[in-house]
Amino acid sequence: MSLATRLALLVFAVFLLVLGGQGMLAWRFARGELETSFDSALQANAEALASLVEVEEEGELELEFADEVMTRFSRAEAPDVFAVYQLDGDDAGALLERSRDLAIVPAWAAPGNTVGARDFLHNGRAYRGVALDAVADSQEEEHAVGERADGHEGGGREERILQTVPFRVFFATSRASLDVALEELSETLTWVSLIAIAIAALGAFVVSRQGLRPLRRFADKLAAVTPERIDADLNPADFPLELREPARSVDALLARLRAAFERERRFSADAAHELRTPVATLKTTVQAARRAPRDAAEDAETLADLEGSIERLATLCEQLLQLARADSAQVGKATTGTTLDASKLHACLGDEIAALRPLAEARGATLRFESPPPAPPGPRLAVDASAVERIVGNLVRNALDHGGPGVAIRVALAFDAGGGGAIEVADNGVGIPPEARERLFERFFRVDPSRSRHLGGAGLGLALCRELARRRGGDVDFRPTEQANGSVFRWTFVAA
Amino acid sequence: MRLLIVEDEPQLARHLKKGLETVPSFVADVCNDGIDGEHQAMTSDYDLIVLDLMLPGRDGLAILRSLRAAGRATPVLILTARSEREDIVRGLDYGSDDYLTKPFDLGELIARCKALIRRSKGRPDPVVRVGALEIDTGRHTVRRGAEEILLPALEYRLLEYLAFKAGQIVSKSELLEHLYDFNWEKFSNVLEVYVASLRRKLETLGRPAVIVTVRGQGYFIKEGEGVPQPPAAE
Repeated sequence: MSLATRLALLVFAVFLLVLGGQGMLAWRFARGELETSFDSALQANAEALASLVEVEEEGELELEFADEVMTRFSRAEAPDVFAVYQLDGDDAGALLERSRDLAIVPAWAAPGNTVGARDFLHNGRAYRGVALDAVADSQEEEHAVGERADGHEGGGREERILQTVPFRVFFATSRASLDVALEELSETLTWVSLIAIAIAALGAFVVSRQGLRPLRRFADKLAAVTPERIDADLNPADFPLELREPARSVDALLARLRAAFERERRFSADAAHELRTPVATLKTTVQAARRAPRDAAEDAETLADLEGSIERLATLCEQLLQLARADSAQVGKATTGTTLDASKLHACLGDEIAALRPLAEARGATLRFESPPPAPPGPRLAVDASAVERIVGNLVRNALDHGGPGVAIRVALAFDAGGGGAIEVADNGVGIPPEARERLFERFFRVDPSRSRHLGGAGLGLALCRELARRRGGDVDFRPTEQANGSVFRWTFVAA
Repeated sequence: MRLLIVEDEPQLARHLKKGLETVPSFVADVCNDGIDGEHQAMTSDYDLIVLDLMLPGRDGLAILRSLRAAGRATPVLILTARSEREDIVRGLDYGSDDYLTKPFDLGELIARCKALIRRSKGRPDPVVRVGALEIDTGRHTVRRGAEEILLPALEYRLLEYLAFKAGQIVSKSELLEHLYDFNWEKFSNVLEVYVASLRRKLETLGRPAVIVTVRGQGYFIKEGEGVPQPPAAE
């Protein structure tokens, strides 16, 4: 569910609750008021009726103006009804008067039952009536002559003798007006509520959309970033507080992407450049040969040159391919491959050194490998024979190429307590100047471009060694030596 | 014409020289790094320099800049493996006259070199006419009417150089400078031999002189019909 929808629904639910609660309360209150006022009127009428009850002689009750009352109460449709009881005691009484069309007085209105307003049906209509207990009293005055305190005659004590007669009045009137009022009220409230709900829904929708606008803006800005236009940054200050952190993270991500793209671009540019030179050489060699007069000696030289160029080109292509493959493999994940146990590794290394020795001797250099073989089979390591050939081969050839004539190269193999180990290739050649050490493993970096080019290198060898090592969880790095001249390159590897 | 090739890839430089020297009038010197190249360019007079931009020792653009700052107007054609716009534009802005990206076609390089030299000598028309002689520096032919006169490389080179500078007196030392690469010992007597040989082929008795000797100053060729007269003494 979208955030906007969810937010809108939540806000709407809150509105609904509040409006619903309000509506409910309003309804109860208004209804209460209507009923109360109706009952008050009912009560008032009952009392008015009660006031008409007089005590006649002999303690008999009489309803004054009975006829008038009856007439007045008679209205078409739903006339008011009444009944009057003379009570003897609390529970019983005799019916004195009643409305003409009140055939049966409801049971609860009869003497002895509770007073209070109640609903009932009369002639198929809804009525509400109230029973009211009261007393009628007669006042007989006896006049006794006497003296007043101040000595005047006349006036005298008046004694009143009260004769009280209890009675009950029952008065009922049609509920129609109340019911109509209640219905109108309910209808009005319903309409108002519906409209309020509709407005609430709309409001909730609008509010949530508005509220989430920064989020949409964020998304839009992100969508605008394309590989071609990756330099547009999200400006965190433009966004509300909660979005600033994400915006900052996105900016950092974009910066990393830009850096990665830049590296890619530079690599492509460098690779293209490196490839073009040997190709240009090949092309010019062939074209010059075709233009110039030829003889056997010229041809021999030309063909030798061509072969050399093609070799270099092939090596370069191979290196670039390996790098491309290394790039597309997952970063940081040690890929699986064949493994070697320690003694096999030692043997493999020995073989590689033996293969390199003729080359070293041809250059007047010495190549030594004196590490003792470990106890067989030894721990299993995350290296394979081709890695040994490539990495050690590369390191030794570097030492031969750049160490100068008569350089002494020493290769050593050692294992550590953690199950891994290292191979070191140390030489006493010219060494690496400090400025270059940082960049040694960069692609296409050459300490001395002119000489390396002459020897056919493109500066990819060390970069490749490191890639190969890292792919299996190891690494290749450079260590300066204690002596003034010389370098040590160290290939570390881990347990399989 | 004497060319300088400054290119650090030795095999490329070698074959570039070989290829350029298939042009009869071209002779080329090679330098494999920037420092040597700059030194050569500044101390010798070349008719054209083919300059690679990525050089060890001293960068191609820096050489170009100091060359131009020193007032040397030698035409320069830069070679670069970088085909990015900015590098090319920068090369041209620094004062080079043309560029080619690697890998390039040798034939195209040669044609551009010839065009640059022609322009720098102020001779847009590759054909120089001296009397009835037509020296086509584009095709490296010499014709008299319909008849083509074949010349060995050095003689043609000498003739073409004088033709490009037609109307000007060219000293012997200048000729030596421009006709030989730095590997040759320079003996000015050799020049007289070639001039004599040329005269034999180009000027038969009764035909107007093509190459005129100005005692103590050098030689010259005058363009156009009629007997050439030496210009006012310098």
